[in-house]
Amino acid sequence: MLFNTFVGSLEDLDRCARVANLGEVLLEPFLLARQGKLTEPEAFFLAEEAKKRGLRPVLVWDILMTEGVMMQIVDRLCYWDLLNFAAIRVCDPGAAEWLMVHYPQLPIQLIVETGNHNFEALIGWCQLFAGCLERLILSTEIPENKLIEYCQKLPVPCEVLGVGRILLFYSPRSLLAEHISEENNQGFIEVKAMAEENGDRPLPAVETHQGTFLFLDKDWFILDQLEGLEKAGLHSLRLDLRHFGKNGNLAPDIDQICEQIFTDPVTLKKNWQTEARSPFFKANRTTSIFSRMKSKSKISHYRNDSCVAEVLGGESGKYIVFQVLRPFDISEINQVVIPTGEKVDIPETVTFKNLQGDPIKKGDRDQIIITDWIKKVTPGSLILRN
Amino acid sequence: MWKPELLAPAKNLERLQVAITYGADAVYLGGQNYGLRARADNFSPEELQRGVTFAHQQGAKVYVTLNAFLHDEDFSEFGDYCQLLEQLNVDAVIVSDLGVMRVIKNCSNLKIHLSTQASCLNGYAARLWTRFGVDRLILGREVSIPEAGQIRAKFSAENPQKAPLEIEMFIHGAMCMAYSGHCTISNYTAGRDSNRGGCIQSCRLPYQLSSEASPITFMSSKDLWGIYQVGDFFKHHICSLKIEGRMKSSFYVAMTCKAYRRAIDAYSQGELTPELLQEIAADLQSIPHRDYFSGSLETAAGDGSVFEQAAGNNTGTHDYLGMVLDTTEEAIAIKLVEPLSVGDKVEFILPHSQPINYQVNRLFSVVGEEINCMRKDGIVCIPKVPKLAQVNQLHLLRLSPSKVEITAPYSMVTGS
Repeated sequence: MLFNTFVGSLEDLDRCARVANLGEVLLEPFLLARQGKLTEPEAFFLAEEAKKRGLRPVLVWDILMTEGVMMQIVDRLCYWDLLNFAAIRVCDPGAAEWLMVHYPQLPIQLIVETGNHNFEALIGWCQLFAGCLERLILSTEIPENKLIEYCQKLPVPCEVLGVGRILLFYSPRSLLAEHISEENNQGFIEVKAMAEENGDRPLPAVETHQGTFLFLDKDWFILDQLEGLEKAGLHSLRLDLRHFGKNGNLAPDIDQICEQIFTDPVTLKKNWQTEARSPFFKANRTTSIFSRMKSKSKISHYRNDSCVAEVLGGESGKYIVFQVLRPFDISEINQVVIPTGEKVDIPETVTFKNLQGDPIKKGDRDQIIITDWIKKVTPGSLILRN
Repeated sequence: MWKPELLAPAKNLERLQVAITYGADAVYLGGQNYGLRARADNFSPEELQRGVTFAHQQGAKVYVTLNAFLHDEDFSEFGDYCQLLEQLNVDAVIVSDLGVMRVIKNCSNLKIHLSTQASCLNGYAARLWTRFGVDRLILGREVSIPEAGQIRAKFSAENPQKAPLEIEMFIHGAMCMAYSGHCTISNYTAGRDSNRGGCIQSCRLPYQLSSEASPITFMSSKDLWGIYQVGDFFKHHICSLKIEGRMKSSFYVAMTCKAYRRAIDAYSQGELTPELLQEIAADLQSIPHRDYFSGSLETAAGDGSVFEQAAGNNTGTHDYLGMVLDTTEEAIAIKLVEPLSVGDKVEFILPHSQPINYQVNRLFSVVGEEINCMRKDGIVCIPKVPKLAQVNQLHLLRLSPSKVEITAPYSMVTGS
């Protein structure tokens, strides 16, 4: 298992070069990356310097692009020699498609961190970009047992986030600049956003020239739980320290952190600069609440061919109004199932009338029918055929 | 003249019927699983069958949303469900997840529309998805109409032998502030998967950005309306114009369908005048909504796209009163969502003509008792006077803005 990390300076590269398992560095140009700060010359310079230190420079192109934005970007990229980079990391499927057409020899690392939580999707991406795809970057919402399975079954190597901020929200709109005083706004704004309804958790919010991003207040951290993934053959583990960066450095203490991953990951987590968690690593139960959210109707299974009408309303002690769902003869019905699931017999004395007040012997589809009051029957009750 | 399809949301069978009655060419709806509206009523197979039958009888289409991003364990009965949808003759399914698409293609011949949740934003992404075999692209809401036109034109230039690319765009409704499918606030803060139907709309909350400032709804988007861009959709041959809102009321569905139906038809006949546009816009203002804006339909949404009101929606200019259940020669039976009293001024909203203003002078129960008022959720009859001759089943009513608040509704209960 190899590590990689984002870099922004020669000092970062020097620190990375001291780590035996760190084979790759991620370069984020202003033009292409969500949090990119590097100019084009800086990105190329750092790529060259990375290679001199035995590190693979990977270009990060992780923004999503509308047609107009993408055309502007690929026009600029015509003047870049992308082959100076060992690989290119993309999130927008359109960017991956463009690379496959224009740079078929350049390995693609595809970010599939949102959605893509099933094997069919992941194998689908492998097939769509067959021949170009070097790696899939998987979601932190996939639990460990599934990550292990995917690492073993997928035909391309996989990467997951080992430590770093969890991205919650990505918008192309400028949402913070208007609210932050001008002297603090240098094209990269960071604030804490707290909502009372969210328990006043201070969620880091960042605005760059590519849009606005919201992160979880706790860092993702699985550096103390790597054994299973390593055995399964996970190829790469990303160490994202950008939020601790200062003065152009994006990988502070990366050398010490990498060393401690092997020697004492528990203490590393304990002393981490922010609270650290791994929310879905052991299990993802985000749909377990759905059955409670859904309609509590206990009688929906009665909505079949034997259900001929639905009660719409009524007046207690006076009458009930229902709508016919499918044609029936009055003689065919003798029970109502009420919303609690209880079945109530229709008294033989009950008469059925149409809106004009005329007694009827059968109901036609969508017809409104009125009966005498039947105790316990409420709106939503269903009339059943014998 | 060619016209784009008007596509409306259907939370349930009633909404489906209302949408089609008020002019939708197609509806989209969710089954009981695999969609993004876990709290909606959603259609059982039996209801879906009724809905498809009704729609096809009226010449309308039905698309079923299967746009959740699924985990492996969600697939256990998925293939069977796809085959059921095919048997029920649904016209297409709306899908975000590549894995879901692959299973659909393997087990059915259902047409696939790529959901906006997949954030297809550019021509190369379109090329990828059509290479995979999707039949229609529902573009991300960040794409402008001219950009959509470029995507379509590019496809035609590269594939002269193929049919033109079907592109669907949103024309009306609530907007995600994030790129669709790229928001997981609910997942990590509430343990509910926003991409499997559990979004808790944290983006609508007020957030405090500094200790001194008051909380602001900095992530809450205004609502989209594309009423002033109808001609652009025609110009760029956007094949389907979609109204958002599977959780919204029948009133919303009826008013939006009627408004955009009028605009589309008038434009196709060269009759969409500024005066008519103003009238249609007023109808759209009548339903509950956040402040409207044109999203990114013309240029990328920027300053002024945030809805700054912290509490709920703006109130529209009118309140929804109820829906006509049935009519006879003498009476119109109405299911109410608000109380109604003798003396109230109401408007019957007809699908193809101006609303009929009517002051209620007599009210009857469904068994013919004359009454003075009826409570919210009750069923009531009014005389079918000649002025109301055109009123029919599924037509909606709204209260005239001047309605006096009822303080003492007739005391009734809905059951035992």
